[in-house]
Amino acid sequence: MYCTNCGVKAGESNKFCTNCGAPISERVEQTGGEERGPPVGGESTAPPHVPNYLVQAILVTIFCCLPLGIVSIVYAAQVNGHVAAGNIDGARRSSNLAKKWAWITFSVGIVATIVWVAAIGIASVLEIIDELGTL
Amino acid sequence: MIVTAPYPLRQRSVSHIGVAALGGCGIAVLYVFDPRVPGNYPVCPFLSLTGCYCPGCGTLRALYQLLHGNIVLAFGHNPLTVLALPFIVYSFATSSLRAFHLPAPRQAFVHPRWVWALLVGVVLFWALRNVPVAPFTVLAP
Repeated sequence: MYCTNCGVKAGESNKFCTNCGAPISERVEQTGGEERGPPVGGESTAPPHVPNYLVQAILVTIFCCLPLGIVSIVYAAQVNGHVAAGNIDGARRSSNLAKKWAWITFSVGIVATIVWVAAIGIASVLEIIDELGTL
Repeated sequence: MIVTAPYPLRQRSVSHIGVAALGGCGIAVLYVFDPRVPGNYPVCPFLSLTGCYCPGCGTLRALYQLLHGNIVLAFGHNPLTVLALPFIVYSFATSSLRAFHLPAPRQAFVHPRWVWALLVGVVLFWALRNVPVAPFTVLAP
């Protein structure tokens, strides 16, 4: 069962989507309403929203300074391309890859920053020890 | 559809509070400490190791200038950050509303051509801001 708002796979028991918070039962209530009243044009045929993680991709590209962020933007573009072509399974695959590469870039960026700051700290401590030795 | 029944805070809304708190701390530190003063922040490892500017270079200086109301100077340090900021803030605001089950605007569908254009733009920006010749030096941080 997939969320009708964001397209992420949702558990059968969940009342709300764990990704976007939209109520899972929304579609059921809508079809129930359509049986009684006239059908709402275009509502049921609208493609589900598949998250493309574009904002996250831009954030990691700006803040992590790594070429890996570009990979995430490529997958984000693929998501919307697949959705436009009606290939929802392909969109979900690209969506997961966009998410994965955003996290990889973020993790590498965090680790690199910690190692970098630690290296600068150790270097300055060694410099201070060196200066104390010449006194 | 508006959800009116009370629901407990889930992990997602907690993480939104965490991100907002971290962002607030970052803004407070950045407001006080000027990134142009050497030693206030470590130099970016990418710049130190490669000698090249990345698309994010100048982001701290740009945000510092934005916090002090100088949008023109901020644009000069990193136009990509200044242009991306409204979209990032909007995205975080709407996703926070969804996390707290509040009514939020539906996520808009962006035509793929705009995403590819953005990709080309970022790569071009990255390459051209490293060209040390007159018209492109404007893009350097």
